[in-house]
Amino acid sequence: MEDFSAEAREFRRTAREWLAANVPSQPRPSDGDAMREFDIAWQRRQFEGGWAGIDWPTEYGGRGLSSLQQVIWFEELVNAGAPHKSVLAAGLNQIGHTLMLSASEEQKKQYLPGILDGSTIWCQGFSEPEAGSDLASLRTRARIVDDELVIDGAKVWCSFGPYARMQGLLVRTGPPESRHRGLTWVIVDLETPGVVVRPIPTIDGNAEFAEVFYDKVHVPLSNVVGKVGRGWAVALSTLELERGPAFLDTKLSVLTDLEKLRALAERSGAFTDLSLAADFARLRAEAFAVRAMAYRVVSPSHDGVDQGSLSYNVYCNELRQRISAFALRLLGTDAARRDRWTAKWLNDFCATIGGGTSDIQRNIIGERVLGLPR
Amino acid sequence: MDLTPSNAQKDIADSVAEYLAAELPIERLRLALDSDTMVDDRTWAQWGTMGFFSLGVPESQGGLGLGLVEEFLMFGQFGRHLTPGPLLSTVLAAHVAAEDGDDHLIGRLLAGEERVGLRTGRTAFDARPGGLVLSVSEKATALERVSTLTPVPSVDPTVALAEIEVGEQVAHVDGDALQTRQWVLGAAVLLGLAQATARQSTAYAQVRKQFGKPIGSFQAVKHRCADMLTRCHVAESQLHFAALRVRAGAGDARVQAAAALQLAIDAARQNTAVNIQNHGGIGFTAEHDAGLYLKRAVSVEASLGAATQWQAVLQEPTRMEFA
Repeated sequence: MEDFSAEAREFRRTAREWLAANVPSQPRPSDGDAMREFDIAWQRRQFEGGWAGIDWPTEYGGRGLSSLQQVIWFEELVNAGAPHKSVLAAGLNQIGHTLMLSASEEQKKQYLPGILDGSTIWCQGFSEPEAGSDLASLRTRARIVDDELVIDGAKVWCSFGPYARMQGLLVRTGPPESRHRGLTWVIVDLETPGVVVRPIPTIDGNAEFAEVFYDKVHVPLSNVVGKVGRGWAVALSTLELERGPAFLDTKLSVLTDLEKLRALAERSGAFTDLSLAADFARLRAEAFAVRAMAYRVVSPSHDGVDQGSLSYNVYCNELRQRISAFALRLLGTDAARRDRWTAKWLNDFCATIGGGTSDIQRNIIGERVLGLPR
Repeated sequence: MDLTPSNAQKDIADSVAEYLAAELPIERLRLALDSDTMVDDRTWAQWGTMGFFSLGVPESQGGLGLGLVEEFLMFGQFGRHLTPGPLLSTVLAAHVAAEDGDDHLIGRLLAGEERVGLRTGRTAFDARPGGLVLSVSEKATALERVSTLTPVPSVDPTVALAEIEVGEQVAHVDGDALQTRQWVLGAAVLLGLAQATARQSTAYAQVRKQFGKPIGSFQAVKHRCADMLTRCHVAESQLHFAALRVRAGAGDARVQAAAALQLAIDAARQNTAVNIQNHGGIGFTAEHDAGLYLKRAVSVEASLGAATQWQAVLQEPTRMEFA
């Protein structure tokens, strides 16, 4: 066990310095073109400053640094008040890592730089109207015709789908009852003829979700990531990232959220209610652990198989919801007003649904980590 | 930053665990439940020889010269094995004596010739008539002589509880550093209880059958076991991080320790309680160990004094100290 090295402290210092001078001073717009332009500009700025993809390999535009430095960057990002939500999030957190793990060299060179410099917005296409938690039952069909896949079907709950140009899509290439053995992971340009994207307003009223329909959509076979029929393994690597150390900036934002709530409570005198004060202390302890658990995942002598990463995700997601619920208690009668806390409270309901519900994740912890029977 | 214990650190924890499993299994603790003392003087002296009290004391003062990390790993094993006796207060007393420069007292404590109870207000844990007790606060940590002692019934049958009055002060150290150390070591004991009960529940859920299936196949039980594991991961990560920050003398050391303690308390409370539910009827009996873990969690938490102490630290403004 070792504390921060001199190298880690120096990295933190330079990151902090750059962020102090470069974090956008305007608040992030919550919807529409303004939001998209804001997110792209901020990502572009990080990329040009040399702060995008800290732990991504240099040949794909990253910095080629350690996972610990990536964690430190996220901490400083959150601490500097930088926006941590972005239309680019799927690319940066999920698709990018999936491509690095499973794509061909050609595909990596073609797509990864566009993720890091903010020029390409990606979304995932996994869930379907009849395939949510039971993802392996999905029915969007792809037939192989010559050197193309021809896709028919529908996907739903594609985050930032209304803004995305590209999609990582999971389709059925095997027989209808082939479950996880008959799936293929393929890259789809959403401007291909036959694709229709229908925005779905989410609980806070913003059009963040999309339903996507495919009617005889032709996609070259060279867009398949991994092999035809091996899409389940590719998708699992994405889901595991989503359940593990990905979205670390969002996870760590609980720390700064609590500091803001503490200041709010101080102004309103809310902590004269001792139960609120005690609950705040517990939430703060819980938020500290989010950081400690990130260090555990990237500890150099860690044995690699992180038994805790599934737990980490369930824990962080539920903690976000507890903090939002606490914010509403602090607001008292002002909780009826629409503001940033009530918007966050509404938005955080997705935390225990997206990427596999927390119920499914508890099953996986019970079965895969603890070895309990199905 | 590396939160994984080194091989040398693991070896210390493993050797303590092996010793406790071989010499003080819970079946043997049960035999001592009705006697006056859970740990006889010979065993206590043996613990002295084994280095239980000297692990973190500097070599120049007769200790083993290791640090807080080794100490908390050892205390984690005490929690897992329900090791009785005033270990935490005696180890802290050795630090008080070392800082106070009382060589005679250090010698007696390290050799296992003296055991020190823990006092919070009028209540003392494992104190003896005429013996020493430690009291810990944010201002100072003091060693005092017990003047009067009246035993009171204890929820935890492995701990002797008493109302006491104290006389002469034997040694004392100003400041909050020893309280911070107490939080880290106390958190380690509580985490050990949470881990032991998580394992107990998981093992039972794999073998206990109802409706023709292991009960661990039912989501209600499976999810409880998953949550027990998660609480352990959360508390353990924070404990390791806090120990490193305390060892480094970092500005955020105390608040990190406070967080570790709060999380370990929550993990111990919830895991020891849900462990009883997972075991059903047998968990409610005196024959089963589940009750011993539950009661120990309550007595360890109570021995640390009012929760407002560490909660106050967690309520202070923190500009996230990320360095």
